[in-house]
Amino acid sequence: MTGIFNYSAIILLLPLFVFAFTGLFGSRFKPGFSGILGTTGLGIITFLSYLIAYRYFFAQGPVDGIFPKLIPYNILWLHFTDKLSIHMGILLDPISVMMLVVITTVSFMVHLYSIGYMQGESGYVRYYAFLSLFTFSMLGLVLATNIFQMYVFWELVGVSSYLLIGFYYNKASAVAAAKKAFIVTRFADLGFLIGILILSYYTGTFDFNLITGSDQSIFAGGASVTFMGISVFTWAALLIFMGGAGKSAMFPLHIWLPDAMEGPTPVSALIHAATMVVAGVYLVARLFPFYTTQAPDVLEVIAYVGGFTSLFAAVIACTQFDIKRVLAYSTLSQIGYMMLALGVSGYGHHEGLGFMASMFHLFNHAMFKALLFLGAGSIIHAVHSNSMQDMGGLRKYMPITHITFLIACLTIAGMPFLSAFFSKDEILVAAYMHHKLLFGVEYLVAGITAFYMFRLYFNIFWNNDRQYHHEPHESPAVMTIPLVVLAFGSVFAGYLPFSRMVTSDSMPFDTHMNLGIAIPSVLIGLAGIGIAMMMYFRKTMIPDTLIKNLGALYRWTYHKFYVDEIYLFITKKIIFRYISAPVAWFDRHIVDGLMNGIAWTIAAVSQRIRGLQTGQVQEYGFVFVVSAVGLVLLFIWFLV
Amino acid sequence: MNISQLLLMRNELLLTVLLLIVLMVEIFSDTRNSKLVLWISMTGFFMITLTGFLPLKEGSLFGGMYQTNQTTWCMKNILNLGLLLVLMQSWKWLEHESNEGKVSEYVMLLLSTLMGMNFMFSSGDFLMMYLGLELATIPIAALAAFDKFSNRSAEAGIKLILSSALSSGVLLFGISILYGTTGSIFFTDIAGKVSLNSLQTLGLIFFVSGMGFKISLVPFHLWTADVYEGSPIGITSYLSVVSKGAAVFTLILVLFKAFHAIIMIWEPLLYTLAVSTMTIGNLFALRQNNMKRFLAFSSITQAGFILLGIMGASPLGMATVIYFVLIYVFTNLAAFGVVMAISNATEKENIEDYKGLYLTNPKLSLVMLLSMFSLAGIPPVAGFFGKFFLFTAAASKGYYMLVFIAVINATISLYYYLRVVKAMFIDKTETPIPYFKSDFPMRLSLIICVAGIFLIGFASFIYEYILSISFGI
Amino acid sequence: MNILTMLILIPFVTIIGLMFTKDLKSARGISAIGMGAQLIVSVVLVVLYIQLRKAGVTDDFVFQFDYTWFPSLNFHYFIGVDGIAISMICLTSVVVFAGIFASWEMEFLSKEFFISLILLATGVFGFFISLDLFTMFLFYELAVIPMYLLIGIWGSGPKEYSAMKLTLMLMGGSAVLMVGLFGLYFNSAPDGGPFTFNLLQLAAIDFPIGIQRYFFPFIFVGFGVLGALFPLHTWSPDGHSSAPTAVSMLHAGVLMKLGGYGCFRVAMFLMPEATNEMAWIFIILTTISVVYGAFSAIWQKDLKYINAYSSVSHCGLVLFALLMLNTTSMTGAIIQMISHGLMTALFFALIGMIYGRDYLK
Repeated sequence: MTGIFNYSAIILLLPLFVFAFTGLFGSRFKPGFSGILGTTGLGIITFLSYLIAYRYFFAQGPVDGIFPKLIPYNILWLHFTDKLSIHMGILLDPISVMMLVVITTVSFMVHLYSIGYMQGESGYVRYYAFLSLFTFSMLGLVLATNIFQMYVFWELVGVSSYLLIGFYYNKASAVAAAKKAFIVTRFADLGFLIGILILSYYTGTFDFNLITGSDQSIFAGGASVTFMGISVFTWAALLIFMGGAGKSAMFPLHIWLPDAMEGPTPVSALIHAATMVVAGVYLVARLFPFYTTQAPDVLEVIAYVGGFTSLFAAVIACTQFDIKRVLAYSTLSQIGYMMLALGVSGYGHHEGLGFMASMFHLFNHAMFKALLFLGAGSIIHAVHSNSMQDMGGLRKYMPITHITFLIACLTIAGMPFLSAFFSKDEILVAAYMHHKLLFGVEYLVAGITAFYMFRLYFNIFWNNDRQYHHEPHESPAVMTIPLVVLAFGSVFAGYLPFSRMVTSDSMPFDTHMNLGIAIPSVLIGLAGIGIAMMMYFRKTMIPDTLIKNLGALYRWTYHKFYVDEIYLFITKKIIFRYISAPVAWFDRHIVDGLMNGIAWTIAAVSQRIRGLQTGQVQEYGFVFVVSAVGLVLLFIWFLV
Repeated sequence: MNISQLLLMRNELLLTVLLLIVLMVEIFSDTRNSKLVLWISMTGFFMITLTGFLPLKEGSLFGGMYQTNQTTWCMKNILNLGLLLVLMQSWKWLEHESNEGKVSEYVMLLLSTLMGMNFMFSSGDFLMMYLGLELATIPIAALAAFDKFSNRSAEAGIKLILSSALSSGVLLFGISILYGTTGSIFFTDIAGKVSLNSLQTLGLIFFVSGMGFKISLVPFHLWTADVYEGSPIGITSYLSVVSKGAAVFTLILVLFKAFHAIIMIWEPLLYTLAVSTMTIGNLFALRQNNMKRFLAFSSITQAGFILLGIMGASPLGMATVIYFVLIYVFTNLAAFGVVMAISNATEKENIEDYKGLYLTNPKLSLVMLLSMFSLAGIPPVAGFFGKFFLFTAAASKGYYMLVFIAVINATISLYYYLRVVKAMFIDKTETPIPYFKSDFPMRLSLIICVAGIFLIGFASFIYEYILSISFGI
Repeated sequence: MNILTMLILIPFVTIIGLMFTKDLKSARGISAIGMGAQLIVSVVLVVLYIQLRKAGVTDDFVFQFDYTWFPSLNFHYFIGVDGIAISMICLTSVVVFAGIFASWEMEFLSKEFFISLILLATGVFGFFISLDLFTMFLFYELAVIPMYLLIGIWGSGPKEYSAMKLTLMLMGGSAVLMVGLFGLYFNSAPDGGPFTFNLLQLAAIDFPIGIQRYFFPFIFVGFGVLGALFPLHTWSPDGHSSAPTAVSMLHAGVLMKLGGYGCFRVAMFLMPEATNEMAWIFIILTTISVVYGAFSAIWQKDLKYINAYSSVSHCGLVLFALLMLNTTSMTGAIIQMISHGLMTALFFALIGMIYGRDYLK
């Protein structure tokens, strides 16, 4: 019955092939060709992923009550020693199959959408090549059978993200943003790598099956080893989470994500909203059994980091004007939710509610956030500006975008019967069971979320009905169709029986709506929407007055709490100026100076002793005799 | 003793014959014909060189005063080759009108010095050695002053004769003390009688300093630069190659034959001299701008390296020394040949003048490049092998520290060899030496040198042959 | 004929051919053909090697060929390869082949340029196939010296200074190395018999620890200079930044690997006890190399300097990994050598392209 699973290799290889083909030969064809090729390829693997997901979750279903872990391929790739070898393979289990669906769906939509959005751009072919590369890497990441393979693809998504953020490479800000994204995530990956090394050193394996399996004996070797009073596995877990936090832009490694919005908008939708940024969440989820058994303390850390990031980002989002940045901060905030849910979760069955909720929210978030970004792209495409101050009253010009955007806003605000309502509710329940403070924070964030999303919505589509130079018009069908499809996803994804599919221990269980938590959360959401409406539905003076009264608080928030500046201070002022510059100086002047100094000394001595050669033959004779006699005396003294 | 035994000194006799022929031609040809003398002496000497390669019996003459064996046979051939190359390179210069009528003098003086050198290292006692030494030195002083219109040349001649008189005096003093303490001047007798005592130490050191003068070891080298710079280039190259080689041969033979009992004295002595020679030679060579002066100091450094081989005190050591001298003949004469060709054509002798030479005279520059690399000991040219083997000989005795000093000095020497390369290949100038075509003998000699530079290293049988005729203590 | 000797002969024949060329077109054509053939031979070598291993040949070194060069000194032309050497040979052929194309428009003294470049490559190939330390050392020096001309004549910026510094420092390194080699040679016959430079025979000898202690630093530092061991790395930034593109590629991509390879093959392979004992000193130095090279690179403004310092850092990493003394790290070091060889060559090629178009770097 595993027939279809053997085709999973195609899912990986097809995008790779498309990337290679487009990258190498794409420019030989008409530009449109690469777009169509990429989209078709993605269409095929999306279809395959759906087949696999259907087969895995429904046709085959759980075996003995557990969804099995299937490994259709596992090829020995690098063999170092008998103990240490690295495999490349494909692992199918509930979360990876779920991620398959998420990635292929969103990627397919983005491919399709980009045909319209990127039309006429000079780097069209390059764009599609990179997009395929990204899809390949992301799929490789989620399908990895071992942590090293995951790390390889983890870096590859970093590369493709770098390439795509820097797509407009003649724009200085895009280049800087790409660099920043790459460096910050690479810095975090340093932690990841060290974590992997510690983990594999003490367990002797990279394999997920062993690390997350029920056999705990592999941890025996390092169980008693501690470093600075903390067990090595806790360190490993913490460092691996550092990698995840970098990719998922958790505070304080979040600074790259808002800047990454310099990339083309569909890229933001795919990479920086739906897929790559949730890789950190996926990572923690993938190693979840390891975290619960070996490093429960780290889970606590994850919960608080997630909670703080969600609040922090939500607050900043309220003050930004660039619509993509607002969405970026909202992404941060939502990923914070997911992290928090993982952090508060326990292992197994109902204990694992948080885990399930996190995955559920990841799934829903991919849909509605992709939709929001693609909608934003459609708007930017029409208005040629990113700033919401240049917008207003667009509902008249772009009806489809307007409706789908509204749906997405309602979803993210947690309005009943839309997908995020369900997942958010479960996250809140899980948080409530774990700690009241986190729960309270999340309630607050839910309200803020509703507020800033509708601030965005009203500012774009209502507010002042301005006149535009060029009358904005609705985007072409190739762009609106993905919007509609994703809108459907946003509305109906919540009705999937998620707890029967994706759980911490792969065993299905049932969940119930907890009305005591759901109703207040909806009310808070509504309150947020109400405030936003009051302030932004029409042009009012309320926002300005508010800004004046809040003063410093507003300024701090507007400047993102100066986190960027702190980083700049550390890198530019401290590392560059006080470490690198002196090191470089030291190298040029001291070390190299030493070498030059040797040469210089020899030259100087050479110059100095030239005087010994006087040209006076009587002196020559004198030196001759004195030396000969001197040597005689010397040797007689010492030897005879 | 019969006539056939005299054939043991075949080389010396032939030299005498050629010398007499040249003298006769000089006397009886009325036209003062330089061409004729040149052709005769060149052909004659070429024949001698060829004859030299014929096998020779071993034996001794005059009651052991004169000895010949495979080793000296090989040494003589090397020096013959050297002189042949020098003569070829001097061809054009000798044809020059300022040397009208002086060709025969030049040839005769050279031939007699060569003869002196042959006697010097064929000797079996100190007397023969000393006679050879004087015969090898005094005509050179005349040669150094050959250019009678040049003050510098005259200065070179007078400096050489004064300095060498002094050194001969010191040498003789040493010899007489050895004679006084051992009662013999024969190497074989002395060998059995020397021991570790003050007087004999003094004798040894004075002997070594006399030889050191010829080899220009520091601190007995001071005459070198002035003489090399002032002399005609042919003489400079002869001094730096053939004369130096002969002195090295003599030194190693006498040390091995007569003084092997007190190796504990002369090894540290050579150690000291080697270190000072390499280092000081290098330090002086670093800043020279005149090519002749520069090559003079570089040859001092090379002499320092040669001492490492002597310190091997084994067949290996002697073989490496002879082998190195052989390579050095070709290498240094290639360098001098180029200097001479350029000097003949343009009278320029400074390193600065060589700027941009490669673009105008690529072949000459390549010869110079190869010879510089060979001097610096860079593979694949022969100098690498020569130097490597010398260091092997020293290391075989465990002198790692000395080898270390030597290789560091070799690296420093690379700097000034590369300076010449830099001038020729890298530096640019408005007024490079224009293209010129050098005369045929010069070109032929350079071709031979280059062939030697390439082949002697790779063709291992040459080294193996030299080793087979070498002996140790 | 032994396939490894082909690796020496092909460049040699190419050089001979180049001597008769007159213009850039024929010079680059011949070079490309020669080095293309070299690349093909390298690939064939890999295939043959894999076949041999599949056939169950378990010798450490295959394709051995032994010719006694200097019988009395027991110096041999002794060649043979193992997997590491083969991978290095492949790397070299690829980089050299690419280097020819990177210098496709070398108008000034093109013939001489290609001759020097291929001479350098000959040295590198010879080094990797040698199993006799004498030949190895010969090829090692042969690889270093054309560098002077290549940088001095065709370089840019303060080229004379850089070329001189590079050559002197590297030759200084090889001078130190030579002493170490003599130390091994003259201790290679503890039971009498001829001394030897034969790597395999030397490996069979247990050198007394005193001797190892004495000579290990010489050999390690000697090779380490080429491997950019702190503080002897300063030739690298100047040299790389002044060198023409193909030379930077070859130098950073391949030549610096000679250092690491030599440390591994000679110093550590022959003197394991001393390695074990002294590793800590060099671990400290290489750690400095790694960190320090990286920090220096941050501050540089010139792309070539950046890459040069990053090479210092990476080569430090290679030595560092070697000194960790376990199989995994050794494997890692070898892989790092290859990967760094390829990527740094690519990087220099790209810098060369930028420079060729904009005269900026």
